[in-house]
Formats: sequence, C-alpha cells, structure tokens
Amino acid sequence: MTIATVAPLSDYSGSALRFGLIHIRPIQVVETVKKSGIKFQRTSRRFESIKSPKSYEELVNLQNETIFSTIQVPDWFDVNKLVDVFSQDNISRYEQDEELKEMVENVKNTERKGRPLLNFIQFMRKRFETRKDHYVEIEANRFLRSNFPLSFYTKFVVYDKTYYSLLKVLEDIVRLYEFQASSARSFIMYEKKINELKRKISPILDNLDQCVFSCSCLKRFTMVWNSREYIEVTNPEFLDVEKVDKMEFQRLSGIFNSKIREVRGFLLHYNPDFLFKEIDSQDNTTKMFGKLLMFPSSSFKI
Amino acid sequence: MSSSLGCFFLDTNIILSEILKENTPRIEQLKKDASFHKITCNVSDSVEKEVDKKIQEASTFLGDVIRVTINGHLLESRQKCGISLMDPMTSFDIKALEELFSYYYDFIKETKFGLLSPLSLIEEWVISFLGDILNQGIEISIGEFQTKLVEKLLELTSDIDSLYEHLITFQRSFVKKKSIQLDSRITQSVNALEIHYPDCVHIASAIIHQINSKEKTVFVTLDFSSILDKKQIIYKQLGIICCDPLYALHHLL
Repeated sequence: MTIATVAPLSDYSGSALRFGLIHIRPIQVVETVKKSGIKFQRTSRRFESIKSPKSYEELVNLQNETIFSTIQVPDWFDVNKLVDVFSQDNISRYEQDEELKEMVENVKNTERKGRPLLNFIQFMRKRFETRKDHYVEIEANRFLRSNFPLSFYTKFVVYDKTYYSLLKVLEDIVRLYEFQASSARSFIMYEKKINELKRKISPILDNLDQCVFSCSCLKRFTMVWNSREYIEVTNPEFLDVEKVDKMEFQRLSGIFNSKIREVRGFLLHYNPDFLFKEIDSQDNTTKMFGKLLMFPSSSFKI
Repeated sequence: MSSSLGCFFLDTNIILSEILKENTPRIEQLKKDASFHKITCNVSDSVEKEVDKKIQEASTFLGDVIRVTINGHLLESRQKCGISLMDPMTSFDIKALEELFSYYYDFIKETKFGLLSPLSLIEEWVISFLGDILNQGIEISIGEFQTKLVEKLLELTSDIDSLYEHLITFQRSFVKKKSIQLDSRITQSVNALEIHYPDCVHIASAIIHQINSKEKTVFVTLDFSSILDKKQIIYKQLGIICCDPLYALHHLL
C-alpha cells in the first residue's frame, strides 16, 4: 500500500496566501530609457514585499511556538525541540514546493502588466482543484493507519473543501479589485484600489488563520502523543486513540469544529449556496448510506 | 411570516431523507405544501442531536467494517492459502468476503444480535464495487481497495456534513431550529405508549410547543413501525397529530 505522507496544500499554504496577497505593497518605478537616441521616462508599477525575506521562517516558527504553548506535550519531548522540528518540516516543504515559492516571488517581482494577484490566486485555486482527490486519499490513508473514528477524518476533508471554497471567494474579490486597480489612471488611485482589496480580503484570511491554527493544534497533538522519537513526530506510523488524553482531544476537536463552522458561516456572506451540494442519489455509496441511516443505531454492530 | 394554520415538527428521518434524497416524492410534497401555505417546519434540539449522532455512528460503523473486519478477513484468508498480501485482488478475495458475510449471517440468525439488513447493504456495496473493478481488468491491492472505499465514504460524509450545516446549523433551507424546554412528565407519558428514546423526546417537544404556543402542531415522520402505527392512541391520549409527510398539510386545514 502506498502511504501518502505529504500534507494537503491547506496544511501549510495559509501563510503563503498572506504573503502573496497581504504582505505586499504597490510601488511605482520611474526609469529613464533611451530609444533611437531620444530619452523617455518609463513608469512601471509592481509589488514589493513589506516583510523581510526571512519572515516566512519567522512566521512559521512563531506559529509553532504558539501551537505548542496551547497543547499538552508528553514529558519525553522538549517543547523547543518540537517547535524546531515542525518549523523545519514546514519550511522544507515550502522550499521544496518550487511552484508555490516561485508564484509568491512572482507577485512581488512582476511589473503591473497583466494581473499578478489574480494569477497568484488562480494558481492556488487551480492547484488545489487538480490535487483535491489526492488530499482525500491522504486522509483515507491516515484513517487506515489509525484507530480513530472515520468522522475524525471527515472533518479534515470538510476543512480542505472549505479552504477550496475560500480560494474561490478570494479569486472573485481579487479579480474585481485588481481589474478596477488596473484601469486606474493615477498611481494614487491604483494604490487606493489595492489597499481596498487588501482590506476586503484581510478578514477572510484572519478567519482562515484561526481555522488553520486549530487544525494544526489538533493534528500536532495527535501526532506528538503517538510518537516516541523526534524523527517520527511529523509522520507517526500509527495513530492510536488510546494514546491521547480524551479530555484534551475533545477540547481541541471542539475548537477545530467550531472554527470550521465559523469560517463556513463567514463564507456564506460571500457565497450563500456554497454549502449546498448536489448529492447523487443514484450513486451506490449514497444509496447504501441513506438506507443504513434508516436503521436504528443499535443495529450498527458486527 | 408563519401561517395561521399551524406548524410542523419534523422527525429525524425527514431530515436524513432530505439530506440523502431518500423518499424524495414525500419530502418534496411536504416542502411544497409548507412553502405554499407558509407553514414553519421546526426541528427540535433532540432531532438536531439525533441526526448528527446517527450520521457519526453510521460512518464510524462503516469505517470500522472496512478497516478491521474486511481487512482482517482478507489477510487471514490469503495467509491460509499462502497468497502474498501484496498480490492484486482476484475472485479469490470476493469468495473470501462471501465466506465472511455468510459467517455473520449465521451468527446473527443464531444469536439474534444485530440486524441482517445493514450488513447486506454493506455486502452489496463492497462486492459490487470490487466486482466492477475486477471486470474492468484493473489491478488493485487490498490496501488500495480499502483506500478507495474509505475515499468514497469521506467524499460522501463531508458532503453530508455540508448539507447538514446548510439545512440545520445555518437554516438555509426550509427548516427552522426550535429550542424547547423539556418537561419530563410529558416525555414520560409519550414513553408510556412504548415510544422509546429519543423518539419520545421528539414527540414531547412538539406537544410542549403546541401547549405553550397554542399553535396547532403536526409531528411529521416516516417511522411507520414505532410511531405511525400508534398515531391514533398518541392523538387520543396526548393530543398531538403524527403523520406521514404526504398528508401533513391536510391535518392543519
């Protein structure tokens, strides 16, 4: 059996979204160019990063410090070392993800020609679209390597689907505001529109961050309590429900579930129908599940 | 704006049918009637909880059958016959599953433990899925087969989760949540008619609402075996109408 160990995009690209869409500012560059012996002034607009190049690492480190100060950690592990191990894992996955890294860099370096922010968010959305089946496979494999109930993994699939819906909402907002910015006659108007765009998407990313944080807390908690060595903490062989403290597990699951609900409630303002799914009632799995639910729960025994 | 005709209180099976598109003609008629006459379709806290619990229990049950029961039996059958665990699945594995399900049918018949039908639903689903794969000539290992089954369940249960939130949590469809302060005396009188938990709580919620709001209330259910077959005595003793969704409107007119 092939065991997928790579985490879904939503596990580590929340920060990339913030870097690609929020931690940028528009700048105007005026250059003097010579054409056929005549001097012209060429004005171009581009984005620059507000943060220093090391910020991604700092941000990831800070996130992991906060996570490990929130969850219970077994006494055979040192919290600082765990922060280090998980941060390095996040950073190396980001570093290895050349496509994503290049896209974030492109936003900062591309001239205003074209639609760099829209390109970025479309890239994120399309990439998620092409990989979403794989993300479900990851959760299926995690379920088979554990004795946690299936409903625990269902919530992670719900989380990924919510993330995807959120990318589509962001894409619509970016398309509208960047289009308005691109038709601005002056740089001041252009800057104003980009700032409006950032103000519009900031609360969405704030909501997403809280959801990503609660998801990370829950995942890290189950992972560290199912590991004995630092080398296995990011991908333990088996997740045993008996190895985690039930009260703490319920607390973290409760927070995670309520954060997903909050984000979904928030997304309804932008897309009132996003929770509505067309279930194929002729599909064998749906038919089987539908009939099964009509039996009393006491018959769910084998 | 609610109707002066009264209101409906919906049972768990109505919500589950709506989510999974079961009993569609009956549910569609109810929705059409409620919308045309502006009748509120209420869902009590107890129904809300039971819907959530049932979905979780069914998915846990199915997950465990795939992860433990099916996997364990397939591996054991192969080991007995010296077939490598990594080999692609064949008719041998389908026959091994036939043996597994036969064993459970015999066990259930002997002990009267559990019900035959949930098992036969899983049997039909698993065997037809594997049969289709083998008919297409696709090579699949036991691990990959399990993964595919779990993927299908995760896709479905995550969609059900969304529809549950659409319908109940965020009340984006025809259903309204109604919080009811329970009165144990009323719950016990429903229970005394041999209507067990949690059904007696669902009906008690509708009765309490009818008393408190003085609004004519109909409890709508598809449960023919333990509620609708007692509808006369429930009405006579407790004053609440219980009926099938097809007829619900006409009990308010």
